[in-house]
Amino acid sequence: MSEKYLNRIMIALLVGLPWLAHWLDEPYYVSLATRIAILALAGVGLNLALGLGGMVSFGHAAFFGIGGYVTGILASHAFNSEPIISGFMGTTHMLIIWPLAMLIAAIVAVFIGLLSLRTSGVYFIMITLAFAQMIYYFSISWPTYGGEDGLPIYVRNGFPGLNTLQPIQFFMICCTLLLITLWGVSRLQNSRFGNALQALRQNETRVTSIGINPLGIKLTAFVISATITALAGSLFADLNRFVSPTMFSWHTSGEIMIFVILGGLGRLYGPLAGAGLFILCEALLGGWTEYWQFFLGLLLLGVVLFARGGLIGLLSREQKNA
Amino acid sequence: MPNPVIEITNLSKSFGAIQATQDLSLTLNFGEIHALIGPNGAGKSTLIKQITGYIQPDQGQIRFLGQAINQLSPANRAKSGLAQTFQVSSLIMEYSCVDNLLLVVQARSGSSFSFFAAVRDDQRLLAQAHNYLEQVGLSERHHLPASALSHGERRQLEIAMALALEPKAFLLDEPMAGMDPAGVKNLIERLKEMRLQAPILLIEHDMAAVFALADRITVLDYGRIIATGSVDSIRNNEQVQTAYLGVAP
Repeated sequence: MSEKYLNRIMIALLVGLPWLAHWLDEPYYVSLATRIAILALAGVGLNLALGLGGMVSFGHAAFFGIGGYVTGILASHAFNSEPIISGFMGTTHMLIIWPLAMLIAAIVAVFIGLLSLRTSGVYFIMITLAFAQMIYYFSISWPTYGGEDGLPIYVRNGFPGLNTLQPIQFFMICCTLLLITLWGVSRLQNSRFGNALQALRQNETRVTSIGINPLGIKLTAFVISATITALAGSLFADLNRFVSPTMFSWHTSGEIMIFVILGGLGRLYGPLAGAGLFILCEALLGGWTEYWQFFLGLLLLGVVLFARGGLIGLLSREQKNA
Repeated sequence: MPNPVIEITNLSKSFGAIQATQDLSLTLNFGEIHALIGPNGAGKSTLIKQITGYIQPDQGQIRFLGQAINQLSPANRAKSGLAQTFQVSSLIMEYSCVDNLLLVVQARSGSSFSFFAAVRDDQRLLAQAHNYLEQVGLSERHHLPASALSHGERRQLEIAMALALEPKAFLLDEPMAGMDPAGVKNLIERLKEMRLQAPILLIEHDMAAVFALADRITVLDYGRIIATGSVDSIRNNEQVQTAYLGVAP
């Protein structure tokens, strides 16, 4: 089965099954699919940095959490009718929240990227982790927005013309954003920028020696990657109608990384396969034993040892030339 | 074209107690092949790295096309026309031959900050990439990833990448290393053509090749120039013969 065909099947399942669940009046499965779409989106973001650019960011929870907290903070101020700073009110419109969440994540990503991209390998992993943990502890100790307890979003934010509280409609928003992002990243992958980025992953000295400045390319990729993950964080906050410091914790960074690796590093639809498998494992095995992550660990071990192309590589039996 | 193309004056670099470059001055003139020879550890590669910008000198100046380039990043030096090949082949291993060249052509012809248009749909770039591949005789291998090439073919691809930069100077670090005699002969002919396009600073251990190609030879030892001059004068220089060519005094 070709990778292209496999991707189409995954999209068909992702779009189709929730409608079946909706029709059978099983909203739990609709929200399960929404979770998959959102976490896949976070993974697509990380995959851009990790899979294409070879930047092993262990701090993408920072951007996921920023997306979530921007959403929660704006919504709570709007709900309480308190200005954030004088003259600037909160909002409950997704179309305003998303770009703001992405913008703030981008600013933070420029800062983190400029400091961390001067290093590579283990040091890069540790610095990105350190930044995310700094933000994590900051969020715990900031009582204005709930501190350790987190911050509830009383009513899911709105989208013009839709009732976002209805699970299938909110699902369609998330799913559409995922599809648009996948399309955008597929364009980027084959563009001049993507060409330089993927070459940098393989041989930075060579790329530099032909006149391409590596820092500019990597930083841009890191920032785009962060904004995508922040968008996912914003949707995640609206899905749960709650944000908490957990979104910033290193477990979250690890989980996003697991989606990418399970699905197949650098494969466009890898994060969707990975997040799908992860959430289904959690839902199915989690109902059977609370130690479901033991089996997830075995699965991850199997993928890393025997299927370097991840789930997609395994199913499509197409090896990327490496 | 300003002459000299590369002008190095009083360059010094030390790593701790080791003087890798000592008060070194040399020029690369338009149209010439200037060979740099010397025993292992003489500081040849360190010198190249200072010219390309990967190592900052402690003292001295490097001018390229009349401009001081000490402050330029390696990428900007390459962009301004310094092409290099590496002692150990340095390629984008997962990319096909033509994609390796496409990247160079892309880097030379504008920005890499274009996010939507597919680079492989750009027929003009593709045609140029294929053209350089043909120049080094790798057309039939165009679809193969660089990792699947033989050692000699990888060196050819490196040369093609240097050519594709359309540089103002070539810095070639042991291009003959590990090549069979037929490959060396081919490469000698190619370098003779390349010199017409831009001068070549050539580091090479194959003395037959150096004597066949060089207009001038500079001999390094312990980071210092011990002799510089024409092929004949170097051949007959006693100091060089003891230090390097292995002739008993």
